[in-house]
Amino acid sequence: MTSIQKFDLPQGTLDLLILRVVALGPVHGYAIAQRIQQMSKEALQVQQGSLYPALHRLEHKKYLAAEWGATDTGREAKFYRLTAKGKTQLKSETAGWARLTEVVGMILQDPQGETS
Amino acid sequence: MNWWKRIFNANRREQELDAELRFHFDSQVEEKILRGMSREEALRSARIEFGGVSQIKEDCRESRRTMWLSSLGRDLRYALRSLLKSPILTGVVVVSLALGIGANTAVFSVMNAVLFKLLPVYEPERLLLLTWSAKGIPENFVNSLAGEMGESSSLDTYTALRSHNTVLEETMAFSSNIDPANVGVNGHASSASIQAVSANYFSGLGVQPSRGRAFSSNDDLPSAPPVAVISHKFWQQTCNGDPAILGKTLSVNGTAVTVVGVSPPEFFGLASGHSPDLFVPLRLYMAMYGARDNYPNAKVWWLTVVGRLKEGISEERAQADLAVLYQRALHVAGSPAASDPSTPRLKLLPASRGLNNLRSEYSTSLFLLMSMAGLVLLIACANVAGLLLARTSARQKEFAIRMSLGAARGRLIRQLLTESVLLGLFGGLAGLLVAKFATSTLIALLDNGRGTLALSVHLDARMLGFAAALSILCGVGFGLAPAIRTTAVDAGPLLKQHTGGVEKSGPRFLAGKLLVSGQVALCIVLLISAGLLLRTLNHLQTTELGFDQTNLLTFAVQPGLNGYKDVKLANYYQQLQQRIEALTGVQSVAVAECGPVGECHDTMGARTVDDPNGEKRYSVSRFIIGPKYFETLGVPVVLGRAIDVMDTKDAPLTIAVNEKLARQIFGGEDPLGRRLKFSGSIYRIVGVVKDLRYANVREDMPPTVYFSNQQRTSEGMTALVRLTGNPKPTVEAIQRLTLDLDKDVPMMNVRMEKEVIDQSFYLERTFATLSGVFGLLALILACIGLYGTIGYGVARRTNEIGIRMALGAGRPKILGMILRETFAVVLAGLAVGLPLMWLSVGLLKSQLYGISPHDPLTLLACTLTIVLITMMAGWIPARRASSIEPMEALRSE
Repeated sequence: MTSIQKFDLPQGTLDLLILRVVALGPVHGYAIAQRIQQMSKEALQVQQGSLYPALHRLEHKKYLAAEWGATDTGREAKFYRLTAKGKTQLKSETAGWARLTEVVGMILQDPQGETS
Repeated sequence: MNWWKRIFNANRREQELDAELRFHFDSQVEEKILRGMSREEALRSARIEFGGVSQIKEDCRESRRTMWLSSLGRDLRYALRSLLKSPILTGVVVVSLALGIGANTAVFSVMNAVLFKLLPVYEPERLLLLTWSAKGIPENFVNSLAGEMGESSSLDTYTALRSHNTVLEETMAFSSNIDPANVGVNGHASSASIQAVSANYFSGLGVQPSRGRAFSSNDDLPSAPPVAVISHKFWQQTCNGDPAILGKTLSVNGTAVTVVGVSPPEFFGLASGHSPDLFVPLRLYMAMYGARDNYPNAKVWWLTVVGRLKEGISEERAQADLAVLYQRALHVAGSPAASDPSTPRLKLLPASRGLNNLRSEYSTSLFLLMSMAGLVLLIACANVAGLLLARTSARQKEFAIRMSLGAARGRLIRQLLTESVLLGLFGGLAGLLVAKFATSTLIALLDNGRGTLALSVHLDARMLGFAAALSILCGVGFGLAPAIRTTAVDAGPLLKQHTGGVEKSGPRFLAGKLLVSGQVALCIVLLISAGLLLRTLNHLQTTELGFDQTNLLTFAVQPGLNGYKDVKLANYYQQLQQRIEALTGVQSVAVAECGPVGECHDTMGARTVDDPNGEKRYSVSRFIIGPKYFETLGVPVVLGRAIDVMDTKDAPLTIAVNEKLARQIFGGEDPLGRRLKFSGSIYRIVGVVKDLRYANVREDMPPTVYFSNQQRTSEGMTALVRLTGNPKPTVEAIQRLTLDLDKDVPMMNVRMEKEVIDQSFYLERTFATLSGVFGLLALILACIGLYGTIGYGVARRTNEIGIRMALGAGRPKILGMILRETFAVVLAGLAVGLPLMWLSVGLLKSQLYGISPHDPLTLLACTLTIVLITMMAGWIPARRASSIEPMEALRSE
């Protein structure tokens, strides 16, 4: 499902990234993709095939709420925003992610693990 | 959001999804244009980046996984459409299922009612039937036994058991036999059946009359006015459902009896199947029938005893206690020796399902029917499986296309599942209709118009469910397996695969053929069974009976029940005979104890008199007949004379015998004038008549003795009337004349002899008919299966056939190739089916008459029929194969 150019994003990570981007304020799907791209300094490119199912999944889980609104150029687009439930989820997932990277990093940096 | 909203919102959501993706796409294009691409370039590149829109949409829908119901609706719609697209296949599957499910449900429902169902009484599991067993016939204890051996007791025994036991809450009894009675309702006499029951019968069973009251102990007092409880059926049919029936008076055998209750519709007495029309208290019954049968006598055993176990008492305890009481009662009743080895021993049996006479009568038949129906279900399943197998395989390409267009594998499988379940549902519904119809037909067939088979049959939901589940499982299993395999692989190669070239005959194809072979195997079993049963029926119908059956009217009268005796009785018969004889359209009349080919069949001991080698004992059949009997039946008198008017009560005792008896007892000597002794009296033989088949067409003609009805009386007689013209006016005239003679003595069982004989074959006919129907069904199903499989094979191999033809194979060669293939399938089926039949035919043996179960002619005929018909079914696709145009075939995809 979550396939990203250049390198693979671990399962579920895309959801976390989307929640993080949406937390900045109501935003539509295209903008989310672009924002991720920018914020990752072009390292991540989210495919529509992954993005939209993820958005719909998050909306279904009530982490996101959506409503239609006008963009800067005056077109109708679907804007997603974070719900209260989504906020909690983002907090716990962010904490979980930090913990995970810390642990994984600890193991990877352990000198005993390096082959000489 | 609730379910409804979800479905209603499904459309809006689709539009939103469209708009959302559209927006994304447009934004992407705009951005690319901003970066300096041309519009076309931007569109192209965006489209490539975007990938399959349908795939994304489907993933979005899946990710919500909520649209289960709305997608079910879509699945159902699509499934319906795809089923309707191939109406023949759908029809065949539904009909196959309906027949399989329907037949099984019907047979099982009847079987359940007859064999397994609990009585509709209060706590039936606490009911016990009192039976006994003895070494040989306990001649010291009993002179006359009613019902099945070991079932009946004397009135004394019953009374002793009832008054002294401490283990039964209630001890009930009823007459083991159901007797005929002449019953007048509103001055109109008709025949009915009657059973005596103890006063506590209804209350002890816990059966509450639907109207009026049950009997109370007061009804059995000597001074009690005569009362009766009538059955629901009798109330509805004979009393026309008279709402004011309670308190009305019926004339029962000439006695005025007041109706006090109507038994509930679901209660048919304790012996399921044969239910009485009237229940009367023991004392009243004994007053009516006691003079004839001497019911108060301790050596006349005529009551069946049933007890309700007290709560908390074990069956073993009851058995032990009652056994002691039973022995004591027997000895009080006047047994000579306590050590008599033939002393009956008491045995209690559970009576929760009623008594077993109906069970033994029908159980073989029903089990046989059940096996046949089971075979049909198997064939139907195989058929459904085969057809769906072919269909799913044929749709592989469709699945591949749908998958490459973005359908998820799970969705496809769900779709197929929906189709299979839908098919099963339709099949099940149709099966329900078939079952409803088949159940009543089956009961009518088993009852054969006698109207005595009283059963409360409900369609058995378990069986319906079982059959339906089995069929659906078959459908789902065989429809799904190929789909799962197909959808598991990458769609690409399948799509690219050109159907051209020589198709590998993969295992899938083999499975289809195996299924058809299996059907053929089962089909031959059913067909041969049907053939054997049909030939049995034919044998029976053409068996020489020894008398002329045409234009012979028979009916019974029972004046004895209304108090006619001795001279009065003889006069009645004489009057009847003379008056009928005087009618126009009547050639001759006779009366006899039983009509030819009927239920009564009495055997008695005959001893030789003045035999130089000492007295010898023979067992012979006996009939009581009136004058002109042989003349009316058209039976030639070979030697001497027939029984005649002159053989009166005061004349010398005379008998006529049949040729068989003459041969058996007197060998080559002249039997005329010889004497035989029957229970003390000596009779002289005055005539010898040709053998005729009597009580039972199946049995050999037994040695038979004919007594004069003036010298041995019978309470009831059957009149035999040889008619010359149209029976209807004559029958009406006889009806008037009979009621004129005595308005309380009705005609019973008015039938033409042909009908009587026909009815005596009812079981055989039922079997022959049903197995014929089942056999035909099986054949049709097998043919459809064969046609489908071979036809499907031909369609898939169009290309191969084209290549063969292009390489020079002639049309006959192609035709031969396909036919050979068909034949191989049929042959494989026969190779399994024939030995199967050979081994299992023993089951049928008891149902056959005049034919060996391995009758070569039947085997050959059935085999040929199957080969011929299935080859015809295979010929159609073979023809199609051979008429393929090679060039077209090669071009075809």
